[in-house]
Amino acid sequence: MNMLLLNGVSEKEDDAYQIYQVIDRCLKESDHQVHSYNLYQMNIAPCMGCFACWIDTPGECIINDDGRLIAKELMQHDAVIFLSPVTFGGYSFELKKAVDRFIPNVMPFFRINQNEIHHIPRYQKYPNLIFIGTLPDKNPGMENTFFHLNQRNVINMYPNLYSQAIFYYHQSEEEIRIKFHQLMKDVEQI
Amino acid sequence: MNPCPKKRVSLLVGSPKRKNSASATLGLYLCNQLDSQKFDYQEIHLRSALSDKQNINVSYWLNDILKSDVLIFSSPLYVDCLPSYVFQVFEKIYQERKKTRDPKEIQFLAIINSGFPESSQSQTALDICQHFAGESGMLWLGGLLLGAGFIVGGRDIRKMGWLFKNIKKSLDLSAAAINHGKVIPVEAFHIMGKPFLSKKLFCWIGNIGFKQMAKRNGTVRQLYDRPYEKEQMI
Repeated sequence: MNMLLLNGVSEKEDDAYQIYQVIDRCLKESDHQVHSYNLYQMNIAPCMGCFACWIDTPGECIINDDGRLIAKELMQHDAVIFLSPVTFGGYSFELKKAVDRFIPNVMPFFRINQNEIHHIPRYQKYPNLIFIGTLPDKNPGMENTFFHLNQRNVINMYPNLYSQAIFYYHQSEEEIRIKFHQLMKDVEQI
Repeated sequence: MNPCPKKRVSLLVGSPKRKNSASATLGLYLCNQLDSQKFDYQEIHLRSALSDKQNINVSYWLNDILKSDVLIFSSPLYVDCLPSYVFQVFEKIYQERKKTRDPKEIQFLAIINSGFPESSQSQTALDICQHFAGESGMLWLGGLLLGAGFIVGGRDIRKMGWLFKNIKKSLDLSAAAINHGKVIPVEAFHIMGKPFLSKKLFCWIGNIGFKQMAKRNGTVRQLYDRPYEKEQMI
């Protein structure tokens, strides 16, 4: 598989960063082709909600920065990993600023999907998604919200398959490795 | 006898738009319904505040937020959630309050509007606001969810027609609750969330609207472009 890791954990977050390092090692040891981006090191401006990517330059954001690169990279891979500290049940600022810049990858037009209105896909095929949140310890409320958010993203980002998990700071490298391999397996196309 | 000091309300606007922002319009309407004898309010646009190049640690607006008695957060839905920089602000407020041994009592209310007609699409964003309030030791007053928020835009809510009467009623109920130091009534949540367009009609109007915008821009032929198609990778 051709994989993309979007790391929304910064170096300052010691424990969460160690989890990132384990995942990074797992990917490097695997047979997969992997591209990895540390989002906190990138120049990604927040989305301005101007809709120019739909109307003025369809399919591409008018802000010429790394946000464009990440939106393009998303479409070039078979599977994408979203890694982020669970931030009040959502993503970190670092990951969210990248995710907000993905909207050029769908069309402005609407359709009814799963009894709700959503934007129609721009492309025929989208990457499968792996969502990984990190937390110091169990927090059922925030984990629930995080998983709901993942599922909402799945409706709008059109993967064929997805997997999701929370990794805790106290987990051993071995536990993280086992869980991560399972997440990868879940999105491998048969 | 000294009169009771007025409570400080900060309206935190999550939209990056400076003009015709539904988030600002909804929040300002609510603030203007508060009892002016009891409350003073100020408006803070989070995106502008963050981009003023000042160090967020010492910036005046962060101190203003921390000194508030009531925070009214009004924001659009961005990709199933809140706009990215809102997380930066939430994180900062949370960290500052965690540093303080006995943080000031703050009440928190959230209004989320989305571009989709179903207000329920914003429930996850509202849950995130509630987690933030709880983790930061604030009192959660509740939240309001509005679908098709762009219809509000920068319009005067007082002058909006009968079709939108629920928006006004919901905000009036919420203001009355804040005036009396109570949580937002369930009725305010329910009536704000009622759709005012059918799904099919919404799709039809929305799709025509985007096509017309493209026509004006001369980009109709490019609308379906796929610049990031895999084969085009160099």
